[in-house]
Amino acid sequence: MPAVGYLVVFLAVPLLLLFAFGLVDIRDGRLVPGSWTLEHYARVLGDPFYYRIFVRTFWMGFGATVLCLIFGYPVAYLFTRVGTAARQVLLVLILAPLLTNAVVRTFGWMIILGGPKGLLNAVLLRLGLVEEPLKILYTMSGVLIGMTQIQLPFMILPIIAALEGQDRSLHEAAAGLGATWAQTFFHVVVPLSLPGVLSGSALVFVISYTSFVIPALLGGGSFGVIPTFIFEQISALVQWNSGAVLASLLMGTAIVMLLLFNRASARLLRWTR
Amino acid sequence: MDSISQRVAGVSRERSRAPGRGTAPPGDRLLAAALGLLAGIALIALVFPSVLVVISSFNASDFLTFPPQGWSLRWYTVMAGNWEVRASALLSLKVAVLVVLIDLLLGVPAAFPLTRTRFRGREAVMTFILSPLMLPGLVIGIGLLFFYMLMGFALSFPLLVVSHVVVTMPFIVSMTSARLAVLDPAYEEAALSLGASQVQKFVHVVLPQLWPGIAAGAAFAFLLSFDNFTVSLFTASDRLRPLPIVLFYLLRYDINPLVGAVSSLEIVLALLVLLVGSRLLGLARVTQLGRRMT
Repeated sequence: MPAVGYLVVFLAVPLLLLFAFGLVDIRDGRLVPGSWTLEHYARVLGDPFYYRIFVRTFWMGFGATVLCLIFGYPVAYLFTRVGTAARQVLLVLILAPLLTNAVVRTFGWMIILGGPKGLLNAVLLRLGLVEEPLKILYTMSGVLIGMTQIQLPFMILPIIAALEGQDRSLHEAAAGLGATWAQTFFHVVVPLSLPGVLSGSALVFVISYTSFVIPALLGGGSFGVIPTFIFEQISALVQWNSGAVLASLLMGTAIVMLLLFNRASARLLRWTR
Repeated sequence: MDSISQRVAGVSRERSRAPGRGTAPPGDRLLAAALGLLAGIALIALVFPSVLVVISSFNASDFLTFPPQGWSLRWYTVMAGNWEVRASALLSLKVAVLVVLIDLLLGVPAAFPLTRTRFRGREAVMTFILSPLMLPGLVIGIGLLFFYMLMGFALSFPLLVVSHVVVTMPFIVSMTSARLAVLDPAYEEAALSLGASQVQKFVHVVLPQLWPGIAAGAAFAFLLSFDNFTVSLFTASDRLRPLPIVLFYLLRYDINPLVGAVSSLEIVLALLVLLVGSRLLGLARVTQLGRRMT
């Protein structure tokens, strides 16, 4: 198949190169033959600075995942409880942002959070809730707010799929046995939807963890996460070795997280059977 | 909660236990309120930024202030007169059209053996073809940059197209396969037994049934290429900047009201593709795609 050949040349080879470039010396855009070394890994791994940035990137992904879950689950649940017409409206509301350019959506948050004259500060000042403008844009809070909204559909859609797959007669059985609606929700609906929650969380975590646009724009120049550092290393500083090591580590840790989510999911499936 | 009378009462109350009804226990009402509040915030947050972008694009002043100091189309005039924005929009358009054409040529034929035939490693091949949908765009972009540099290629228009095909072609394969899987082979057998050639069968029987999947896939692939940021970030040269990259640099250190006008058009484009996709496949099927869009 030509498609497979195409992806071998333009996907598999580049990815292998990316890993390889962390393990050889590169000078003036040329590989130095026979220069296999672990020195670049040692340099990055031994630097407490990069360690801190990795931790910050992890927390950014983790925070966005938790927030997406808190706000996404109710939307997914609402979706399963409303009629066909309302579902169509909800789907448009969920899908339209997903299809909108990431830079555009981030721009929307820049208008809301931005500066003393931004919408949020204007409203808060007028209501007398704050004395002076809050600084949210170009902070971790700003990044998390924008990130959560932008990744929300990735959390909502798998949870909807999990909730839709549930056998409604189980809910009726719980109610028939005297459970209140809240009890049914926490003891039947939520536990049965956990596989969807896990796949949504895995998706949101990995996308947030490797996201570039949102932290670069909402975090500003001083907010560094691994993806923005990789860009800086490669584009501005032309440090291909460090860039390759960081990208490989980013990818490697993301894969480890995905495997952990998968394992949790498999455990859960065995457990619910 | 344990007495039988209460259980019976529970059954009879079952209907009234939908959230928000007056007779529900306090716990139910609390949960309904909490879920409703969170869902409300989430839904407003999903739409509000885009609505605000559109409103702000009609702002008359130099800075984006709220409430706007007056209304005008000046930022649309500024946008139309901005050489950089115009050139980059045209570039993105050209790239996206070429990308879709190559996607179709590569992706549609690949869908047939993947859905119609059973061969060893079919699952693995499918996973491989769909893998760009799961991989971070950043990593793919850097890998491609390294590859081009090692081969001694200078970043150029064709390479940008080649790079975008990597991340959009899986869409065409996945959509065409999904459509192909539900196609009844009896129609094709009937066509063949009535004396149609393979080409006639494909043109008159397979294609008419397949085209909604292909067209929707093409629409999404177009949007994915037109909006692509992370792959372009590494594979576009400084002289050939696609629209999302130009917007990014306009916003890098400041809020630029010019971006509002461009963004409004981008939002219209996204809604258009959503409309086309849902017309061709139904909204529910579009959801399946959305889940893959990273």
